[in-house]
Amino acid sequence: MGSLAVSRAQLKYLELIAELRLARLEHALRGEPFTQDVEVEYVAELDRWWQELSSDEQEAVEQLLEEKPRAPLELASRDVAVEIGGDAAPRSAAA
Amino acid sequence: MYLTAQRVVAPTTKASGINAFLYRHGGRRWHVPPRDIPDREPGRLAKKKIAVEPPGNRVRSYLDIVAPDDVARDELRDRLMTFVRRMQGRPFPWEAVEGPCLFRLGMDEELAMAGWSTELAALALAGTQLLDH
Repeated sequence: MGSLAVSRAQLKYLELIAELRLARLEHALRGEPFTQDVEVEYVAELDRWWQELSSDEQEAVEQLLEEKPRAPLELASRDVAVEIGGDAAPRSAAA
Repeated sequence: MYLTAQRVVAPTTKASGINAFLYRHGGRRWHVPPRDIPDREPGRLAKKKIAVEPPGNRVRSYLDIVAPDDVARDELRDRLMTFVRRMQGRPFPWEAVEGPCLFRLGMDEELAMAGWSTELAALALAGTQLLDH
């Protein structure tokens, strides 16, 4: 991105992507299917804001969406056997 | 209660699955999560669901929930969603207190890149199954 400034349309598009992810998550947590009808509403709104973006802005948004989530390569934990009634935690730091 | 679900992979067979554990605390009640739970005082293991037999498996992701025993499922889900809204975009691991609940979510880079929210849903569903019976 040539500038650190984010346009209103870029911000709205990124917010909608985040909202879509959360909506899918919330449906999954409720054990409810995320229906095509709901998804279509998000997609239509995303399309509308995408058309508002210049090609440079679209490229910048794509780069932002491709950014890796920051997470460790590997967790330093191993699991532990624990029996019913026991008071040991189920994982510990790897040796 | 301390409810935890963790995706593990066996070092030799490479079998992978989510193991879940529910600990109780003998009627302890709280309005804010006690600092000793879960690290110093996980509680007494009341239930577990094992997909890959411990011990010694590598942990690839985990979801920890510390909450009052009588918390309603809807409230737990709402607080988990509030936690996610607060933390999304930050580096893993995530940890935050929401009301009387403590949430912690960690995962390795490969799982996070494949879809952290999908992994979170899988962990949450595996964990909360232990509350069903």
